[in-house]
Order: sequence, then structure tokens, then C-alpha cells
Amino acid sequence: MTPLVWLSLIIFAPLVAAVVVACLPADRPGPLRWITLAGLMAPLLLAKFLVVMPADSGVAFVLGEPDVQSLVQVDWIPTFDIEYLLGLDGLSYPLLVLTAALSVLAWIASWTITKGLKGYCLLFLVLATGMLGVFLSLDLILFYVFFEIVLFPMYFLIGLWGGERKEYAAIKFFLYTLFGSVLILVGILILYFTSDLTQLSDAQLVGAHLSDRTLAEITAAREAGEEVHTFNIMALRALGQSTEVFADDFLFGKSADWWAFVLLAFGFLIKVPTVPLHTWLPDAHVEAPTPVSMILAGVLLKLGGYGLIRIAIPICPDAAWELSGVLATLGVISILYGALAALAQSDFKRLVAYSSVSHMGFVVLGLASGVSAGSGEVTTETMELGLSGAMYQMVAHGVVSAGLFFIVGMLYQRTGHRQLSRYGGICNLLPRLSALSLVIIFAALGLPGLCGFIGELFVLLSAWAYMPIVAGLAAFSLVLTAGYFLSAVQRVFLGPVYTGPNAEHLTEITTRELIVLVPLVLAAICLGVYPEIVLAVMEPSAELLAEQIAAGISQAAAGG
Amino acid sequence: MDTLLANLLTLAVLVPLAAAVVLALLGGKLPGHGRISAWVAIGSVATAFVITLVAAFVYQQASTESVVGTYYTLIELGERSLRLTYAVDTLTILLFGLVTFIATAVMVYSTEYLHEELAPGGVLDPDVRVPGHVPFIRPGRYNQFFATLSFFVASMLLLLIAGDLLTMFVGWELVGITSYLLISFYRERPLAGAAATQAVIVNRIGDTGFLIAMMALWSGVGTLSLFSDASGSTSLLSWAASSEASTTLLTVASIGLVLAAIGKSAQVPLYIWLPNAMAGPTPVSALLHSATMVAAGVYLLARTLPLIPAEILLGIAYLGAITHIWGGCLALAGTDFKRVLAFSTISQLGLMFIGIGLGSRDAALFHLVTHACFKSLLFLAAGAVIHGCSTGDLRRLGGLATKMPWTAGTMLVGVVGLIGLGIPGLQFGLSGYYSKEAILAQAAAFAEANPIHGLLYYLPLFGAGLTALYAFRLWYLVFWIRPRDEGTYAHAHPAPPRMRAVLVVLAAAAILAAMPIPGLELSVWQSIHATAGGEPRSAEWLVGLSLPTADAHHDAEHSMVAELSALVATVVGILLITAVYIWRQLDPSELAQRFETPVRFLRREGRVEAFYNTVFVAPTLGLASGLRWLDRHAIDPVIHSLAHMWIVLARWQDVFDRRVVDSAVQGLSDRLWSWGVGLHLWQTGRLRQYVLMMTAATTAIFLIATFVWNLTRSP
Repeated sequence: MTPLVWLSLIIFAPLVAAVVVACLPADRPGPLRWITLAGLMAPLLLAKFLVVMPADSGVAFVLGEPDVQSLVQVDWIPTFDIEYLLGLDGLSYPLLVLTAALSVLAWIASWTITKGLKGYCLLFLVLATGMLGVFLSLDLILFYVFFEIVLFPMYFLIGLWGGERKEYAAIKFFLYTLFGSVLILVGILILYFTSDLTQLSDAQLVGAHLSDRTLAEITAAREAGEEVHTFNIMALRALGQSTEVFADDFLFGKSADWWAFVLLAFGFLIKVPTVPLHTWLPDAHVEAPTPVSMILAGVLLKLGGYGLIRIAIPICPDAAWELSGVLATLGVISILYGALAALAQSDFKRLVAYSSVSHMGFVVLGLASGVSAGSGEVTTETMELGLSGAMYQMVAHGVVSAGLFFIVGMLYQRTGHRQLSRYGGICNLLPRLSALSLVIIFAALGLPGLCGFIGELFVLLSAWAYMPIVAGLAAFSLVLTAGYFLSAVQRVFLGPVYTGPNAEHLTEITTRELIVLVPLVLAAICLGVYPEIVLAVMEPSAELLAEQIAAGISQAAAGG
Repeated sequence: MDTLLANLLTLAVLVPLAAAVVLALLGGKLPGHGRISAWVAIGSVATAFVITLVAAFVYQQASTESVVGTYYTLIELGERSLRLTYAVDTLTILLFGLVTFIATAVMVYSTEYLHEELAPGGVLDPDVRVPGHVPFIRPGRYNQFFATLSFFVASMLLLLIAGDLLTMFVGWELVGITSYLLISFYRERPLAGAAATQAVIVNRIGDTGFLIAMMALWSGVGTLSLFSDASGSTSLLSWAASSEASTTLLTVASIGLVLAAIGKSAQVPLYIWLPNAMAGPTPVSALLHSATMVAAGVYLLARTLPLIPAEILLGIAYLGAITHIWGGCLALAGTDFKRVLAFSTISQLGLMFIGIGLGSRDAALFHLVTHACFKSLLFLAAGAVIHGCSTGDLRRLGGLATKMPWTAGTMLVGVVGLIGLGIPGLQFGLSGYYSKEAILAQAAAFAEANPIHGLLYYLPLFGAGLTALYAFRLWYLVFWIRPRDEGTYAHAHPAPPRMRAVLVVLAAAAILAAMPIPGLELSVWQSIHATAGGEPRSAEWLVGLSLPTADAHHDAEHSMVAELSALVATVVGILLITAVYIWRQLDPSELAQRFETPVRFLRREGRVEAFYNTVFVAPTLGLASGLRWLDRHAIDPVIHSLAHMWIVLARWQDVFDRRVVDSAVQGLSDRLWSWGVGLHLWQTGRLRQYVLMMTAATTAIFLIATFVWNLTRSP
């Protein structure tokens, strides 16, 4: 099988399942559910099999290879050099697997949904296609299309299947992220119109993975003295890192890459989300149904971080470097603000939502110290550590936050409320559920041996070299994190008796719920005890990226 | 041989870990209502003890002083790498033996102490109030207790075998979380949950310091390993000894490490969690919250001593002295058996801090070992009393020596060990005598060299008297004076044989721990002394501060001075308290009345917790509520008004559509027709052109937007 078929199948298998689901009668839940499950399992299996495929088959994910692999390159809209360009590297592969796995688990968590099941299945499958597509795209327009595809099913899933204030939450989510998307689109267009492939040397052209048609175009343009624009992320990366095409004044005395970075980062930081652009998140999370919250926290927030590390930072390293102080400050403000706001919540789900703001702040901080070359005691190794930490934190947060929302969902489903003060005694009533929940919560606390620790440690170790005060403040957030999570544990799980409503519905964890929660718990333990399983995948790419950024920045320093 | 040694001790870590995992997963299904769980756990920890003994034997045959190696590399970064490593030297083996020995004893004791957890019908907890005034019955948690305790031992051993700060931090945090699980063991009791949460939060303040130290050292030195390996790689200690070491970096890192140690070892000002941690079962207090886990802070400082600038060492010594006295005062006024012992632990840890601060790592570690023996004994004796009387309230106990003579006798051994009674000159005394004397001798030498810091000698000397006061007060109140609550006295029953046996074993340890093993040239002191650690740093800006050499406490002159003065202080303390409670020269209640204000102050424990709540906790929670308010009432309104603006715009556009467009085109059909015609022009069937239109439109929007922005920006 060629990479074209394989990677396309990963993206579009859920869409195929959606077509099948659309043809099925809406009144028989069984087939709907199982076909949806099959449509979501397929990408997971296909993605997992990539690691075991032989390296020379063309369709494989080879460990230790830092650059993009399993490349798919087909013309889509040649006039504008828009390509159907897919590929994988160490930055996208872990998130691809995470997305595929969380989709399956969230779907199993959706098993109890009966209202408008067919529509729910369709939207869920489209959502999966969008998310998987984002992580595989290497063409900016293709990336943007998938990025937008995610938005629509999410809007309906929150707005139709959500809680009391679902319409408000859905429209807030939609407007916030749509606003971000518009900025991203403008940023993409700036990059496109200022790019010029003729500036690249022949060796760089090879590294940029351009199609034969584009190469011919470049040769022709060189003779005619014209420019060749591109949406190819790898080509733009080469342009941003080794040429001066983006460095000219563009607007208000700032260069094109500065503007592109600001617009892209703004858009992606809304998605992450970073304080003060975060208020969509608590509302969306609290109103969304449990499985959608799992996807929202587990995958959608990562789209922001991934966008930064895949597009904004590699293409505009100088701008990222210039603004890394702003990024780091935003990161640490998010960490502390999220933790403090979580401390003040009385609703369990809102608390977990704010914990996401806090934890994702570590991703932003890690990325900031990942582009901080030359400042303080920063070395390329420090940057690599920051980038790896940010990536690891994304994967770990995906596991932990999905688990946390599922735990809140299980309790909500039984008792019909989420008020922390009205729980108590859950440990004695539901010992197994509580034991598994505690593992996830300890992982969220950053306990060594569980997955939350590694990412935070890497980010902190890296950030100190860049900004010691910021790193110290971020380290202090662990006190607050322990504060809000353990006081929640005390109010929900400890104590003698449950005094809230619907005590009779408090039943022990079911087999279906175990199927969702146990893999998350195991993942939290494995990623914490032996991080190598993920680091082996992401490390070479993070190292390459750190070297490229460092080289790009020194290039700019020499040129400017 | 070297790898064998490392493998053996690693095995000693893994066996209790495996037991914990097995019990956690299968414990509920074991036969005999979980009775077997206890023996699985004890078996694993005892195995670890035996392995340690074998390792000690192997070590004697080995050629090297220490064995350093890597478990695995977390991440490889050019020439640096972040690794989990181990280091085995005499100290590691000694403390492995100590931890596994006390843990085995405590666990055997626990099989009796927690016997009621095995009751088939569940456990009746009289301390839990539930609505409706029904007695509260919960399922037993025997298995859970032993699983957690095994996990604790594994974590503690990992902390001890760690060859770098990161691995130590892993163990450090893991013992912290097992402490959380064990303090909240009686999780239905409102105080237990709160105490457990408080313990973690306060400890995490210290952990921030640990993280800061790691961050600073990693950035500045590029490694977190404490020891160089066989190839002579850079380690923190070798770097600190070299001329490259920067004072700024060392200062930042040391402050972090000291903060960490203050949190874990419950020193002023972060000690408040430890007395509250007594909400856990008494064997837990004996093992974690006195003998082993809380000593980890002292261990950390002992391992990193060469990194700490002398000025900070001096700060450590003063902090330890304050804690030593303050803990002693609180213990003297306390009315709860376990809380008094907890304050005593705080006080004794303060004494170890003095030892570290005065540059005598050996004396501090020596006291760590002897303290572990007699303090676990004291706690287990307290457990026997609480088990036999169902209360630990000192105001309701008394006269129990006749009821439980074994407990009274063994506890007396513990008390004498605690106050460090011995005969000067003859080198004869209980274990505490030797270690306390070592610290005092160091203090005497230090005070002689730095007369301005003479307080650092007189405070521990005063502390010795104070210790004698509160230790004998405790013993008299429980065992000697007339019983004050007839009901409690009447129902008191002696400890079951297994508990008694453990008490006797620990009493023997408390007596003998400091003595050399006859026939073998081996004693605790020599093992510690043989561990390489490097000299403390000399002062840089505090001119005139000179630390005595690490051996000062062994020169005869200072030893004699320390021994004699300590003996005087102790005897005065004993006589004073005996005069109060036994000879009745002074009436305790009259004394309490005369010194009403200080007694009330101490009984309320200085209101420190209330002070912290007002000064730290409440403002933090206030800030948190403020931020919640900010989200709802500052950020959201901005978003809402933006959204509202769009709606207004949309209305205007609607009006424009209807008034202008509609009237121009005259109705819907006309409009559709014209649309169709209009679109037809563009419908050229070429995809490219569509996209061109799309892009052109978007670009136009962008250009207009920037143009408008330009206008608004330029004056």
C-alpha cells in the first residue's frame, strides 16, 4: 500500500463510516454505534501499524528519523500551489495516536447517548476526520481546512447535546475560535504572498519536499525573474530559517514574519487557551457532554500547541525568538491564573476545566524556552528540552484531562450534579472507581512515576536557563495544584457519607466505564514510569527543530 | 562485585514494590479476610532487610568505596543527559538496614494494632459523626494499609539509593504521597482528610525549593548527579569542590535545598503539618512521621552538604536551634500523647539541623539513626497505650505502669534514650547519649571558635534540659501518677504479646544502636564516618566565621565539656519534673495557674496555624475568588460586547438588505433571477477561478482591514 492510501485512510476512514451511518436507519442504535466505533478504530490501528512496518516499504514510521516521513504529495489546486500534502514526524505522530485513541475511548464513553444518536455519530466521525487531518497536513491551506472542519461538529455537539447553557457555551466557543481562525488565515496568506521559492538553494529545495511541477516552475521563474509562492510548510520553514524573504518591512515597521507570527500565535493561543483568551473553555467544557469534553480537553487544546510548534515557530523563528518573553509570560500567567481560578471553583467540572488552562500553560512556557536561543544560559540542548517538555506535556495532558473529565462525567451521570460541597464518602461507596480516579488525579498533580511529572520537569528545567523568575513561579504553581486537586479529593472522595441527591444511583464502575478508564490509567503509569516510549518518537524531531531554530536565529543575527 | 551490590539493593527496592502492586491488585481476593496481606507485606520488607544484610557482607568484600550507576536515561541532550541513577555507599546500606528493620518491626506490630480492620462485619468508628446519630460502620482496610506501607518502604529506599537529585526527588514525592494516603487512612474523620491535604500542600512549598535547586544546578552545572562515576564524570560534588563553582549558584541552590528539607523535616516555619499528621494510625506515625520519612530532609542536606555555603549552614543551625527549643516547649505543654511525641520529633529533627549547620554531617546522621530507634519505640508504646485505653488524652491517663508493665518499661527505655542519659567518661549510655553528645561537642567546638555564636551551644544545652522535662513529664503522666480517669484506668488492658515483643526488640535497638558490634569492627558511627562526603565550604562574606573540622566532636576536651554540661542540664530537668509530679514539691495545677499566659499560649500551639490561615491561606483564596470574578465580570463582558457589536452590525446589514437591495431588485424572485444571471457569468467551470475568487475576496477583506487599521492608528 502506498502512503497515499494509508494516510488518506487514517484521515477519511471516519468519513467513510459517516457515509455508511448516514444510510442507516436512525431508529436502530446498535449498527450506528458499532459502525462508528469501527470508523474510529481504523485510524488508531492504521496509525499504530505504521511503527511496525518495515522502513523500506515507504509507509512506515521509522524511529530515530527526525524529518518528515511517509510523505504524500498530490496536486490539489495547482494554480495556488495548494497540495494534498501529508506526512508524519516525531512532533505529529504522538499526537496523531493520542487523537485516534482518545476518539475511540470518547466514543465508548458516548455509548449511553440516545438522543439524536445518528446525528451524534455523524458529527463525531466528521470531528475525528478533522482532528486527524490537522496532524497529518503539511500544506497550510489543507491544515486550515481541517482546522476549520473541527469547529463545526464541535459547535453542534456542544450546542445540541450539552447542558443547561449549551447555546451560550457553543456560540461562545464558536466565535472565540472562529476569530482565532480568521487571524490564522490572514497569517497564512501573509506567509504565502511574501514567500519566494526561488530564494532557496538547490539543496534546500530537496529538503523542502517540493513536487516536480513546482521545481519546474521555480526553474522557469528564476529565468524570468519572477517569484514562486508556496503553502508547503517544509518549504516555508526553509525560507523562514535560512533566507531573508520574510524579513522585509511589511507593516508599521515590522517584518512579514513578525506579523505572521503574531497573527498565527494569537489564533493558536486562543485554542490552547492562554489567559486572557481562555474564558470560552470553562463554559464549553462545563456544558459539553462528557465524551465531547474529553475530546475538547484531550485533543482540541493540542491543536493550538501543535499549530505553534508545527507552523508558527519553525516558519517564523526570528519573530518567535523576539516574542519568546511574551510567550513565557503568558505561559506562566496561565499556569498561575488557571490554578488560582481552579481553587475558587465549586463545580467539579469547572475546576477540571481551569486545571487545563494551568497545565497547558506549561506547554506555552516550554515552547517559549524552546525558542529562546542566546538569552541567559540557553543552549540548543536547553531549547530541545523545552520543546520536548512542551510536546510531552501535550500528550500527558491529553491522557490526564480526558481521564479527569471522564471521572467527573461518571459522577455526574450517577448523581445529576457536580457541586463539590454536596459530595463526600465516594471512596467507601465506589472503591474501584475512586482508586482509578486517584491515580488520574495524582498524575494531574505531577506526581513522579505518573505522566504529568515528566513534561513539567522538562519545561521547568529548560525555562530556568531562560527566565529563572518565571520558572520559579511556575514551580510554585505545584503548591496550588496540590491545593485545588486535594481539596476536591477531600470533598468528593473522603468523608463519611454522601449527602447529596440521588444517593441510590451511586453504583460501582461498570465494565464499559472500565474499558474507557483503565487504558487511560495504564497510559498515565506507563508514560510516567518509562517516558522513553514517547520520547523515542518525538526526541529526534524535537532535536532537529531546536537545531533549526538555533541556526535560523543565528542566521538572522548575522544578517541583521 | 560492584554490580552485584547494586543489583542486590535494587532488588531490595523492588521486592516491597512488587508486594504493594500485588496487594493493591489482588489483596481483596486473598483468603482469610486479608490476613495474608499483612504477611505478604511483612515478608517483602523482611526480605529487603535480609538482602540488605547480604549486601553489607558483599560490601565488606568489595574493593570500592561507592558504586555509582544508571538505571535509565530519561533524555539525552548532546553532552548532557537526564538520568535516573543509583549510588551505594556505607551510608546507603546503613540506612537501608535501618528503614527495613524498623518497617518490619512496625508492620509486625500493626498486625495486632489494626486487628479490628479484619472484623467480618466492618469496623465501627466512634470518631465519625453521621446524620441520624447511627453508629458509623465502614469496611475494613487491612489490606490497603499493608499495601500502602509496602509502597512506602519501596519509595523510601528509592530515595536513599538515589545517586542524583532527580531520582531522590522521585522518591521524595512518592513518600509524600504515601504519607498522604496513610494520614487519610481514617478518611471518614473530618480531621484526617484535612490533615492529609495540609501535609501535602505544606510539603509542596518545600518541594518548590527542591525544584528550584534542581533547575538552578541543571542550568548551571549540566548534571544532577551527586557522585562521579568510575570514569570521573562531572558531578555536583566534584563541581562544588572545583574552582568553577559559583557562589551565586550555590546560594540559590542551597536555599532551595534547605527549603525542601524544612518542609519534609518539619522545621520552623513549615512544621505545622507534622502534629496534624498524627491523625493517621499510630504505627504510621512511628514509621513515617518520626523514624524515617521526616528524616529525609536531614538526609538530603547531609548528602548535599558540600554544596551549601557556610553562611547558609549557619542559618540552618539557627533554624534548627529555634525549632529544637520551640518543639520542646510545645511538647512540654501538650495534652495529647501523640502530639507531644510529634513535637518531640520536630525538636529532635531541629537538633539534627544544628548538627548539619555546624558542619558535622556525621553527628547529624548518627542522631538520625539513634532517633529512629527510640522514637519509633516511643510511638509504638504510645500505640500500645492508645490501643489499651482507647484514648491518647494525657489528662485521662495515669498509673498505667501496673496495668501494662512491659509498655511502661520499654517506654522508659525510649525516654532515657531520647534524653540521652549516660555516664560521662565511661562512654556508657543509651544510644541517644552518644549521638546527642556528638552534636553538643561539635557545638562546643563551634562556640569556642566563634564566641559570637555561643548561643548555638547554649540553646541545645537548654534543649537537653527541656527534653528531659517533657519526656519524663510524659512518662509520669501516663504511667506513674495517680490515674485521673477511673473509667479509662479500669478498662485499660496490656498490649498483646506480639506488640509487646516488638516493643522489646525496639527497646534493645534503642539501647544498643550506638554500640559497636562485638567481634566485628563495625558500628553505626564508623559506618557513617567511613562515608565520603566532602568537607563543608568555608565562609566567603561572613568574615571570621570558621567551622570546626568534622572531627571536632571527637576530641576529648570538647567531648568532656559537652558530656558534663549535658548531664547537668538533663539531671536538672529530671529533678525538676520529678519534684513536680512525684515529690509533689510543686503543685502542677498551681504552676499552670501561675504561668497561665505562657501555658495557654503553648496549649494553643502559639496560634501559628490560625496565623498562617490569616496571612497566607485566606489571601490566596481571596485572590482565587477575585480571578474567578475577573473571568465572569471583566473578561466575559468584553467578549459579550464584541458579540453584541456583531449582532448590531448584522441588523444594520439586514436593514440595508431590505431597504436598499430589495427595493432595487423588487422582490425575491427578481433577486434570485439576478443572482442566477450574476453567478452565470462567473460559472466558467474552472475550479481555479473559484479559488481565485475565494482568495481574492479574503485578501480584499484583509487589505481593507489593514487599511482601516492604518487609518485608526495614524494621527
